[in-house]
Amino acid sequence: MSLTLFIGNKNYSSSSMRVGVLLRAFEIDVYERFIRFDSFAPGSTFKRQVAEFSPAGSVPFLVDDTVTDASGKPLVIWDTLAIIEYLADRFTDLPIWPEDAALRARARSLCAEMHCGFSALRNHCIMNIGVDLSRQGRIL
Amino acid sequence: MTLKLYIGNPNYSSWSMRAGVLLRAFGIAHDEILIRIDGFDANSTFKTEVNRIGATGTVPFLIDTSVQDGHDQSLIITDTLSIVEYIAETFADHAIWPKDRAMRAKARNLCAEMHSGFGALRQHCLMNIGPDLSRAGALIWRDHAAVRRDGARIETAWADMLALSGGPYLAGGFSALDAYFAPVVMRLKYYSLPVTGESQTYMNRIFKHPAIEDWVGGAVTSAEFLDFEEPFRLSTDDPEPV
Repeated sequence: MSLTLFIGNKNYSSSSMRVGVLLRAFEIDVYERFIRFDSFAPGSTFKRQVAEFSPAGSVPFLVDDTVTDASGKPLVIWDTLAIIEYLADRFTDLPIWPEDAALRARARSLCAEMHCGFSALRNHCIMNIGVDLSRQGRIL
Repeated sequence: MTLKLYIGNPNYSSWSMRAGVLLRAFGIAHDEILIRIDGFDANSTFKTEVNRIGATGTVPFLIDTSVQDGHDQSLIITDTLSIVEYIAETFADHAIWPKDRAMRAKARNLCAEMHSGFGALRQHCLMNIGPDLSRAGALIWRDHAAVRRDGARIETAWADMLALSGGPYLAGGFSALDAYFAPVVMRLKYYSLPVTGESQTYMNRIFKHPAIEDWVGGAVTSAEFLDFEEPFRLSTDDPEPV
C-alpha cells in the first residue's frame, strides 16, 4: 500500500470527509488510518499524533511512501486542495476534475471558495453526521 | 488581450498581488484593470462593480475572453488558487509549478495552507506596501502569540523548502509558491518583524525579482490612503499614532 490517508472522526471531520469521499468515488486504493479527536489543545493526543507526520497540525493528510523527498522522508500532503491536485496529477486517467477546461476552472474556483469561505455556515453548523439538529438549525 | 486580471489597490490587496506577480514573473500578457476599493459594504462602489462584472464579490479575478462557458459568457475565474491552476494549465511550457511531482505537491501544500491559514498574521498585519510600520509591528509581535506562531511556521516552511530545493527560490526557480508568499514578505518587511538570516536572504531576493519590483513600484506610486486599511497611521504624511 503506497497511499495512506489519515483522518479524524468521520462524523465530525468535514475535511476528512472531502478526501475520503473522493478516494471512494474513484476507487483509489488507499489505507485509511484514524486519529481520534480528544481535543485540539496543543498537548492533546490528537495534536501529538498528527505532529509525528505533519507540521500543519490538522487532518486529513495523505502520505505517499513511494515518493520520497530529497531528505529521504515520505511525501506528506496536509491540505485537502493539495491532496486533490496530487491525486489528479497522479491518476490522470481518472476524471477527478472535469475534462472541459472552462468547467474545470469553474470547479476549481468553487473548491477554492469553499476552502477559505462560507465561514458562517461552517462556524455555526459544525458538521455532525447522524443526529437530528433541526431545532438548533432553525434558531441558527 | 484575451486575459484580463481585475485587481484591487496594489498596495493593500494581497490576493491581487499574488496573481499579478505570477503573471509578471512569467511574462504572461494581460490587461490589468483596477477596481478601486472604496469599502467592502454591500452597497460600496467596489462591491457593486465586482458583482456587476460577475465575480463573487472579491478581487482578484481573471477573465479569459477566448473561452466561453455554457452561458456564452467569457470564463471568469474567481479565486487566486484556481487562477494559478488555470495559468499553469494554459501555459504548460512555463514552470509555474515545479516540474518534479513531489516538489509540486509540496508547493501546492504550502499555497493551500496560505490560502486558508496564517489568520493571525493576516489579520493583525494588513498588507501595506511602502510605509514604515515597524513601531506597530514591534507591539503586535510582543502582544500576539498567534502572530509569532504564524511567523515561526512560515519560517520553518521556507527553510524546509529551501533546503529541499537548494534554492534560490522556495521550490528552486521562481514559481507560484513564491508569488503566493510575496505578500507575507511584504508584511514581514514593512512591519519589520524579526526573521532569521536565512529568511532575510530569501526576502531580499524576492524584493530584487523584476516581477516584485514592478508590483511594488506600481503599488508605491499609486498608493492612496484608505482609512479602513490603516489601523496604524492617520495619513501618509502624519507620524504613526501608535
